[in-house]
Amino acid sequence: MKIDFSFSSQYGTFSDALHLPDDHGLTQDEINAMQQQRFDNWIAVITAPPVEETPIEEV
Amino acid sequence: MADRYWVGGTGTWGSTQTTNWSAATGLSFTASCTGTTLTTTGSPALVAGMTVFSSTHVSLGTVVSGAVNTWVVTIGGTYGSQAMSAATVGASVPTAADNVFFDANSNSGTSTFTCTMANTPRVCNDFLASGLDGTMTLAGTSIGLTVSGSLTFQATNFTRTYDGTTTFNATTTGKTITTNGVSITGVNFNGVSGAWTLGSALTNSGQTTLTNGTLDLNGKTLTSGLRFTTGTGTKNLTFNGGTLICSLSGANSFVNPAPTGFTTSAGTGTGTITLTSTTAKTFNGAGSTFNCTLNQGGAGALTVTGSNTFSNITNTRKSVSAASILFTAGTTNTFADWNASGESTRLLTIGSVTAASHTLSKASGTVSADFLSISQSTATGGAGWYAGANSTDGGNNSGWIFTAPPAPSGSNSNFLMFF
Repeated sequence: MKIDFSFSSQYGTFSDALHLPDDHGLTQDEINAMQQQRFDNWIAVITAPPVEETPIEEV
Repeated sequence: MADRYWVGGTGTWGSTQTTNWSAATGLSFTASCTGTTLTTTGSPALVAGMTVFSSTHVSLGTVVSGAVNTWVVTIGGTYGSQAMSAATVGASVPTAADNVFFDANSNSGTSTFTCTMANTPRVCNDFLASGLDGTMTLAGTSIGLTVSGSLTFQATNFTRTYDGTTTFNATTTGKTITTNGVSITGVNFNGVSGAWTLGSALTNSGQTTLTNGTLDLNGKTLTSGLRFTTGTGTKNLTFNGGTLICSLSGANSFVNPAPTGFTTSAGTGTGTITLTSTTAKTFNGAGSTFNCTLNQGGAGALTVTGSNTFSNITNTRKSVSAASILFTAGTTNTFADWNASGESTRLLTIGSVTAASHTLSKASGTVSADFLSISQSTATGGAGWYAGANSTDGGNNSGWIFTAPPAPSGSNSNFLMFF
């Protein structure tokens, strides 16, 4: 089963989906926690991005 | 095309190792072993030639004979009752035409295991990790994974530590990418006439390169930690309400060095490209048409280079702080809509990178902005460019009207007439 979800933030909207077995057995709280973790992980990536140093070749 | 199932727990996915590959999914069962006699709980469908693995993935050798719950294996040993697995191993290493599966029978019981990729790149057609009941780690140092079909990572019990680039090179449509919250470290889309649809958000801490094929965000968020760039080829980015996040700072946050053959499609809903860095970043559109909204989503000034066309422009940063959107002098950027404003005490600065003017064009309708600080900006194209009553004229502007737009005809006048 697929559960679409999204979070709004100052960085824009984060849209994702949980793909789980039909018999996943998770509670709604556990599903909410998974969604929040996805969002938190995303925030961590975009707020601590590496700084790229290598110049690119212009076309 | 063949199927290849990972079995036996921890092992190496290299170019020659066949120890962990089977042409069919394995078996999971409970058993004990004394000497070479294996005693199973129940009657697993063991057959002669299958390799049996203990709960810690030690090989007990192959099944020689037996039936029901008593079997003879070649190596054996002393093992108490425990989760075991078995499979006919030795299938050839997957090729780019073969589907690879990681499932509940890839390990014994719920034990953790690691599949370490070696000899870059590892290749397969479909990659499917599903049904895992113990945590699997897909590892590899400087090892890339090239997927010619679809890819699915499991939402739970799956960890990626390989640090190479994941390449999708399908040359047919209908492929899906479902990473289920598992981030990757660099991704290439390079399949002539290929098409991929995101099944979940794709978070990539590395560079994203779109060279050939169609990438459909399908309403999901694609995050590129390093630059998002185009390569020489025919490529399309379809949004369908999805968002491309570029979080890199500097001159290469979004770059389009190969604009020839690059198209974007809105699809259903509103697509967005957001640049989120807290320091200065650049959207280098190279003159392409972006059928999406360009969003200033970070504290750092957003510089737009090239004469591009956008569906819309917004500034979500206004909820937090002041922000800037700067355009290269001498360029003309065309918008179907303009929804970039600031807020009280958090102005949005619109200006040029250098002390010369840029041009903003909108063909018709009304721009209704507010809380802008505008300089070096020529607004044109036929639309009414209303900066708003709370905006600031920083000088060297043309076409901007520093008032609120007039009320729609018939609204206020009718209201007054009523009284």
